[in-house]
Amino acid sequence: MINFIIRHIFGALLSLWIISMLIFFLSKAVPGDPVSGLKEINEGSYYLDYEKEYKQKATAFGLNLPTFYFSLVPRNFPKNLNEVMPFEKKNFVKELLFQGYQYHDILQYEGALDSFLYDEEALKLKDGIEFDGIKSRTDLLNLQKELNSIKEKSEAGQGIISLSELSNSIENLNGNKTMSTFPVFYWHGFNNQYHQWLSSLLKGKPGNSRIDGKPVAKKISRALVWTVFLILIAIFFSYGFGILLGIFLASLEKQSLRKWIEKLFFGIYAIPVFWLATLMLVFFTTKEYGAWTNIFPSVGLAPIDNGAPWYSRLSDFGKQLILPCFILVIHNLAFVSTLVKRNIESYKDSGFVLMAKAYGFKKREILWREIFPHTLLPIITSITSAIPTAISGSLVIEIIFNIPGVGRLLFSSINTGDWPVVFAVVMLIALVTIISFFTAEFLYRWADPRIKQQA
Amino acid sequence: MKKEMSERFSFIRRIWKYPAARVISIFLLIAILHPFIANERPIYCKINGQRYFPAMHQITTNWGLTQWYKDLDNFAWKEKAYDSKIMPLIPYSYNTIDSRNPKYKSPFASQNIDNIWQRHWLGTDALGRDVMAGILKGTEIAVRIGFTSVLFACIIALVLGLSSAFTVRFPIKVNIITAILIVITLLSNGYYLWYGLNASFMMFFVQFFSWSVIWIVYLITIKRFNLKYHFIFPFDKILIRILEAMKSIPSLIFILACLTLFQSFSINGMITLLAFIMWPSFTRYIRADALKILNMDYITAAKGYGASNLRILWKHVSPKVFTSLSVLIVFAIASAIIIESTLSFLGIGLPLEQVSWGSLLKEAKLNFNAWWLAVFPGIAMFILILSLNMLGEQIQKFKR
Repeated sequence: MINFIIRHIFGALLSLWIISMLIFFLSKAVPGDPVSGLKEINEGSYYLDYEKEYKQKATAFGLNLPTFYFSLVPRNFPKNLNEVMPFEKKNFVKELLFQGYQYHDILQYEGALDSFLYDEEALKLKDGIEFDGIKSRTDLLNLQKELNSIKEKSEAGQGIISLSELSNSIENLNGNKTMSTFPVFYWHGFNNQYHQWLSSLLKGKPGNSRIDGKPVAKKISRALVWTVFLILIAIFFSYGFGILLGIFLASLEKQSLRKWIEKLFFGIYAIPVFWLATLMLVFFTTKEYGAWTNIFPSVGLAPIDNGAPWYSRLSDFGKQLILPCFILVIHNLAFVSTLVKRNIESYKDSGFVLMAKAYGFKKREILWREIFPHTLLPIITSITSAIPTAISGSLVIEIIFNIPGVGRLLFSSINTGDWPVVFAVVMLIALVTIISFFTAEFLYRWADPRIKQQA
Repeated sequence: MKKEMSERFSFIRRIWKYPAARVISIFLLIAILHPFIANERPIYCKINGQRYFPAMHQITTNWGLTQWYKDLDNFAWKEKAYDSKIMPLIPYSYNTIDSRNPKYKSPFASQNIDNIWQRHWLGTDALGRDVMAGILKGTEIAVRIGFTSVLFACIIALVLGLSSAFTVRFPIKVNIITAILIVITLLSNGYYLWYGLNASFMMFFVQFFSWSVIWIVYLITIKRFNLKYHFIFPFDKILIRILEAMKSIPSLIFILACLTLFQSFSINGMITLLAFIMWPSFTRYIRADALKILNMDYITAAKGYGASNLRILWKHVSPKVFTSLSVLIVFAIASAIIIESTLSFLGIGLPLEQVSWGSLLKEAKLNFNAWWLAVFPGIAMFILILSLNMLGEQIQKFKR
């Protein structure tokens, strides 16, 4: 047993680790500036100020650290490219590095370029070279030719120091260019972005939101209340009623009624959740189709008065959550009851049932004592896989009905690129899912003694 | 060969008996032929004594097979002076804006039309686009995404699942040098792939070529040495870990996470993504099934008389796997269609201008008066999903 537990915990941890890597590198592959929203604020200020402020903000997020424990890059690359900031400069340097230029030459070139751009004498030489685009030019051979032609053309150009420095630095770049792409292995130690993120997550401090600066843990816990409520209600009612309905269906004598109910459930199961929600919204929350169809309150959670007594608050919440819960339940209900019914039927003609009948047990006793334990196994499988499904389902419901749950939090934070929140939510969901699979294994052993004997 | 073919056809013939299969085939037909049912371009027309086939020509032009008519522009079809024409049943494309019937015209309301053929049988949306034409276009999108994504997932899963089951039954033993060489080759290829994506693929091809030379030389010379240290390559264990990890992220959440990478998906991107989501479950199923089959006696017999590994997998294992896989395939198509339309409904899947069932339903959320937008696309989707589920159910029954 202990062996079994250790093996499964190890497997679960390995899966979680793979997921964490997947999500982390997914976020790193997102195009665009990770420090967003900064550029708009500092549009008027000088470039150097902008760079300084950018560096401050990025360092606060830990974006200057290397990405992973190690890196495998060509020889001309620096050990940690993330220290090059801001974003545009990093991309520029990276592009030059991929062309085979040496890193320190590039930095020299950058410095020469800056002093050239701020040199007032050089600005007079407007002809022949586009000053605006020069910062992002990576075709250095052509640039050098242009600079040389300027020098030769005008006598004034030869006296400018910054121009000759610039062309010298470009010459230097081209002189030290390598064609070797053989990789070098760098070890960064534990001071890297992935390790920091993972360790802060393990400590239970997933950091602050990048959009509004609120702690992620607080944001999630506030949203979690709604989602857990929705999921619990959905699973409790759908399984409670579903199992009972399935047993009722299996023991129903009237064949024609039973077939009709089966067909009805089959149809309900084929209705996509979001369509059902839309239909309900359109027909049952407005007065457009007569007063009697306006059964439920309209979409979106209205603010609830915290000072009101608890029973009135509960009824307010209840009124607003009835429709979402109903939609979540009814979809699952059809599935569960069909599953239970089918399993009971498949065991009805088994030998042990026949024997129980021969002993003279009552029908009800046979159903509950003999057949029902056998149907537990598929129920356990479906209930554990129901949790991840319910999370997906509640995501859709939350977005449609405007419930501030985890699903909507994830949706909105993905739209705004709020990665700390996304990380934490997805890891949380993965954790819940893995735990539910893990408990399924135990429940299996409890429900089916045969497995224990095999292992 | 002949017997095999007739058996395959008997499978199709048995499925054809079910009404669900016929309904699905109607949907397939609509998906292929919808430009001839709902189109603003005539199927056939005669202008100034010239004969044209605009509807057909539009399709071939989209495929890049032909060029559009030089003497005929591709807009304002309604205003053209025709000598004679044959219009499709519904004279509107999915993106035709009927400016005379804008702002949610109900199917039962009086519409501003010239004759009965121009009627919007299922109403219009905010801009005056015909809902019926939109549903027909949506059928194409749903069928294309549902069927092709499952096909791709199936191909990936068959390759991975069969090979992993095979390595469990007949473990691949490699000596330690080969194992190290495999790891180095993979690392090198991965590194140069990354480098090539950023700079140029020249170095990738150079190293790929040199690795293939090294491998050929190695494989020729290795037979002379008798290396004893054997190492079982843990392909199956690695695969199971990956499957487990993939299983524990709910698919909708994974899609949302991917969305940030690509902002919005083209149809092909959507197909790739759905295939990527579905392959783990397929692989798991195929692996378990193939393992059961591979442990049977006739496989050992086949191995005994000297059948090659590929022959065993292709001739003896895959046909059996495929018959039981067909149920999963049918249900997976249904779930792929649901996922796609859910995403379009939330406004995050396909690009916004792409008409699909989900995007039509999304419009219903904007205006609760327009019940026809909420009902009819949903009914189309419901019928397709219901008949797919029914077909799956029935295949399951006759397999037993």
